[in-house]
Amino acid sequence: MTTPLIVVRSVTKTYRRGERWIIALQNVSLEMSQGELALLVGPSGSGKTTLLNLIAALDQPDSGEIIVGGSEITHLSRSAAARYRNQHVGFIFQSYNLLPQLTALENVLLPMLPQHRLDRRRAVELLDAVGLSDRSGHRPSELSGGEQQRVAIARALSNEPAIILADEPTGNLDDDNARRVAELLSSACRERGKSLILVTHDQEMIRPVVRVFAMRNGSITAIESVLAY
Amino acid sequence: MVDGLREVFRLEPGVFMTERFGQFRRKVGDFTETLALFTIIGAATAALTGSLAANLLHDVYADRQRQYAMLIALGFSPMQTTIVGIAIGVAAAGTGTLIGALAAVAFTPGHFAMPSLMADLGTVEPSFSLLIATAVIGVAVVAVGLGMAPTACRLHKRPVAGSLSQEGR
Repeated sequence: MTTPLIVVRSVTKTYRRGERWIIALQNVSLEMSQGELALLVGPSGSGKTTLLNLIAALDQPDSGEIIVGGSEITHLSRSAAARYRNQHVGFIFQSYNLLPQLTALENVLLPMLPQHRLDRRRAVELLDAVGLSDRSGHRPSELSGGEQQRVAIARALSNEPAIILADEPTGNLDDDNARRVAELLSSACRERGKSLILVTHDQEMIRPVVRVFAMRNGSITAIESVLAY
Repeated sequence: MVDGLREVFRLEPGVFMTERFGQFRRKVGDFTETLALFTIIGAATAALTGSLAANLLHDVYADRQRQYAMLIALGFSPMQTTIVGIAIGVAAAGTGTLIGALAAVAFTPGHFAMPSLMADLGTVEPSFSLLIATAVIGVAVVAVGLGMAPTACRLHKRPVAGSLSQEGR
């Protein structure tokens, strides 16, 4: 049996909003292997984004542990968490979050900066892989939503991370673009052996996936295993 | 008449002393008022400049809060992100200073003098003093520091995840 790449064990997270404490995650556990594609589905406020942020070490749980690649990332310092994200995690956001001052190519090069290892050829190859080699000199404002998200996919892959976390990456796109971006994302991860956790409302967005985690009220209520075809 | 006046002052020195003291007191008063006026103008200008710069930087940082959060999410360390932030702030403040300095040089009149409150000084021609320049810059820097402190505190405390996420938890 292979060692899982991601292990989330009995994780709980609460937030204080004014006088009230909100339970974002309650005793959540899951495991994922290298190269596995998983969907995280559930209604708004069910804790999907919180779980993604915890796996990315953007936030820390109140209790429980998260182990990635055999190392616990639950209580990393800010600098260590930044290093972990830079080397092991690629993030894709609903609102693209590209730097508007930079061109598409520079945005793809951006995650390489902390390691002082700018590989321009690789960035060009990634833009080519997402079908945007002719748009590399354009700024985000000159690109459509679908194109911006494709740049974000290339950016997420630029440091060869083992894990890709995508938070509703097609939420701002029309159906056609959403389908194209979802296909591109899943094929890019599959070809490169990346583990993908994709937060979505649409359970049919990516097929085939290996697993679907359904969340409600801060808990994982169902785990559906889907055979890849 | 002149001889008469000389005689009066010679015979009654008290009148002469009173007159000289009154003149001296007026000069000291004029000098104090002039000094106070320019100190107030200088300090107010420096404080105003500092608070305007702080306000500008606050807007710059507030606008880019999401971008800083994104850089952190991409794996930039807090130190690297701070350096980027400071570089942007310094660039904004430096550009403003440069534009102001160029405008001052371009529009400086050939002769410039300010009226003085001291009766026998006439007008005052400003000159550069390193001490006063340092003091004014110091006041401006303190004003920028105080103005930026709440923004820096907010940026530091606000969770990155919250800045990045459009959707609710």
